[in-house]
Amino acid sequence: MTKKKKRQNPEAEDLLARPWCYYCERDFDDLKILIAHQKAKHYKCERCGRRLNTAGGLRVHMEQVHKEQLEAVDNALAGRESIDLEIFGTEGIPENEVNAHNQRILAAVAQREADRRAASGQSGNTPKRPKVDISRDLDPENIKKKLEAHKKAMAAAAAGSGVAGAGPGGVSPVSAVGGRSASPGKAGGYEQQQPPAAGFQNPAPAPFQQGAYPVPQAPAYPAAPVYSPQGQATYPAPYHQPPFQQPPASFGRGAPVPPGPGYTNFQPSGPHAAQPPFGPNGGPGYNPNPHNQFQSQQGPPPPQQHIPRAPSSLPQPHQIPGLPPRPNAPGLPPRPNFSGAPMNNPGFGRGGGGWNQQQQQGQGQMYPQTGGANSSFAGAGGYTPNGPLPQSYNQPSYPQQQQQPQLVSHSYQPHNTNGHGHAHGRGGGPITEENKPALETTQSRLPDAQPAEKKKGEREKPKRETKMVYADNEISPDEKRAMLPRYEYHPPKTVEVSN
Amino acid sequence: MSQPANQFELSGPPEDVISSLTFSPNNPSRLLVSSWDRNVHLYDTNAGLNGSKLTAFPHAASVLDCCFGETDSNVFSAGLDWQVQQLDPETGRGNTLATHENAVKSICYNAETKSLLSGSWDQSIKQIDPRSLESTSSHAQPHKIFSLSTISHILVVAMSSRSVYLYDLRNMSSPWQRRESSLKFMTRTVRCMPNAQGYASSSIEGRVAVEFFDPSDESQKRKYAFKCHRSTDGGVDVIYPVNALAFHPIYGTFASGGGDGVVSLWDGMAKRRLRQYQRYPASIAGLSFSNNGKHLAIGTSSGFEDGKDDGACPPESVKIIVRELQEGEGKGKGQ
Repeated sequence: MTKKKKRQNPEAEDLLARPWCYYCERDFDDLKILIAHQKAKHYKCERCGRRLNTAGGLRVHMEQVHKEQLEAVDNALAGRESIDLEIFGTEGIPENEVNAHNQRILAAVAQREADRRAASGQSGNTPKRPKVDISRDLDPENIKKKLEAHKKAMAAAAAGSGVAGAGPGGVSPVSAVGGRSASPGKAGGYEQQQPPAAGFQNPAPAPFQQGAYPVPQAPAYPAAPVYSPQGQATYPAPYHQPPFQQPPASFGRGAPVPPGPGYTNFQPSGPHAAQPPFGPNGGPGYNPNPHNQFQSQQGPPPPQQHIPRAPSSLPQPHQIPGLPPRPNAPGLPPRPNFSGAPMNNPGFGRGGGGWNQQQQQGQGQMYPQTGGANSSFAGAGGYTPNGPLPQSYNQPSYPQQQQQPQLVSHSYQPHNTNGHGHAHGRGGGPITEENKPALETTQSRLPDAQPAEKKKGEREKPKRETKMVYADNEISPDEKRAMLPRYEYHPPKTVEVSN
Repeated sequence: MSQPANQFELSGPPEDVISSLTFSPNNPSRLLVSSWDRNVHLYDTNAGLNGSKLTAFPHAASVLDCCFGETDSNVFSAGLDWQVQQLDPETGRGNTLATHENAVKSICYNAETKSLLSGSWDQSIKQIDPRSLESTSSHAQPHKIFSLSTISHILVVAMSSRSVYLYDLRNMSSPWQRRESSLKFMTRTVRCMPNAQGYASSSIEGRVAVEFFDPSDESQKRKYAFKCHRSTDGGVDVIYPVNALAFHPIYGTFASGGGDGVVSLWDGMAKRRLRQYQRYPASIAGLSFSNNGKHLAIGTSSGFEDGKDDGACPPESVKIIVRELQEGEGKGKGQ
């Protein structure tokens, strides 16, 4: 019964076995310490400092040595000052008090467990996944693959979108799309990894649409049709907008960096969704980047969010995702976040203020370019739900498109450099597997944060209610008494005195 | 309640709430008690088994404070009749020294300047020379005076709104120091340390502060306050006013008396509680050590201070208990 393990999370048995002081409800590591405590705090003679072993001993001592009557045990909690109990260590404590004490301990343990669960939200025991993701992300080969994919995407985008004529410009526009696509491309590399992750995520984070996203994205590369539909289907069904939003959120959580890529990828998708109408732009060319599209989709919504236009659901969701992850609860938080548009921005800020802008810009670009791709996706993925929303966004995005060149360049940088570099810096590894890391990170983060808070709460002793016997801070008791009729006094010469 | 052998109840207690009590600075058995029963009572605590009342000085209104002057035949009182009086123990008659514009809450006698100080709810203090009333001076204060205490040439004036002024009695034209009480609630009582290093003040919110006269930062850093006279009742902290303070004339420790009926002995230097006497059945209204430090007089009265909302004071709650301190009792740690 007295084995000691897991000091951090003591089990109820261990707690129950701890010796405790009846007078002050403190518990101790050892019975000897408890007895020393009682002698020092409760059985010490005020007069001569002699330490007795029990309240009765102290009473006799007081009577015989000091001729005084001991009436209460010192430093005892209210109601426990009685000197009639002969308590030594834990012996002599009334049984009902022992039971009450044990009940309190069990209740505290249960509460702590509940808090821990609430903190972690889901039974998040996947802290290791993020690391794996990170390593993957960091892996030079992966990076190279991503770069290649980006380049391809860029090229495709350039071809598809006549926006950027100049090399950089061309690149940038492509990158804008492609940049996101690039991230998608990376994602593609990751995708292989992601699919499993996605699968995992989906089960655990059921609430998290992100999981769904990741899955679709990952599959999209390898088998765009299958995954995309699934992911899309999942999204649209429960939360059309929310799902998309959530994914970004997951990214934000997983790693700031991932959000970048994630956004990019998603953004394209957003645009794509919007794009469907645009479809004409060049769906086929984009097809290779279905992932990108998804990402782009997400991306666009965020930009929209950033942009005043997007007040609607789409922008919020994206923003929300970024925010929710950080806040705490993996599952629950995201939704609340959705509601809060302002919050979204901060979330992006975390990912990287630059990212938001970039994303926005990228979106603008994305829209035109991705439009084709998106359309294809929309059709395939069944983003239709998203499609409508995106469309509304799309319109706003168009104006952005005009600015595309600049935007493109910006977007490009983020994707390549920022995406990786920032991602690493920010998120660490999560970038590669956006979905998984995000989920995992969110989970892990959330639990930690919440427990900490709980601990703090526990440490703070509940502030006792206080009652002041005399609470009038302006009029002294004597003045109050002087006002009583029976003390009324009329000075001989003047008016009434102090009535 | 069985009465411990080392304390006794003074016979012939006042009939109404005790407002203050003080031992003579010259005679360890002369105890002066002012009461809301419109009398000042003079006791000999040594007479007989339970002491005896020597004289009662009737007043026109309730008496709020009393003190000894230069000798035991110089007795002063002040109260709701706005007057500061000198009482003659021989005849029992009073002689008005000064008149305030409102009830006089507190008086004290400064032996160094041989002057009597009075503080009133009319927001003024008067410095009175009992031998030459012409030289009486009045000094306006910003708030009602709640408590006065003096030692050496220093006068501490505790007022409402947590204001505390320190005066140098040799120059009353302006306060020596203007302070804000370190307690957050109404000041109830202030008492100077016998060594003239500082003072203790108490508030209605179960707290006592110990502060020092020296305005230097070093000295001011030493000031502190502590909670006391509280009890828990069903998880609720009940906070009593601390009505009375008294310094031990020899050891420099002090006693505090609260609305909870508890008297505690404190070592202000070591920041330790020395003793806590068993609880008396009514609020502690006054405390005073005899000049030789061997007795502690404790006045108890029910009223607003112990939770009587109507200020009712059953006569049986009015008691004067004289507690004999044993050898070393009240001695601070390390003394």
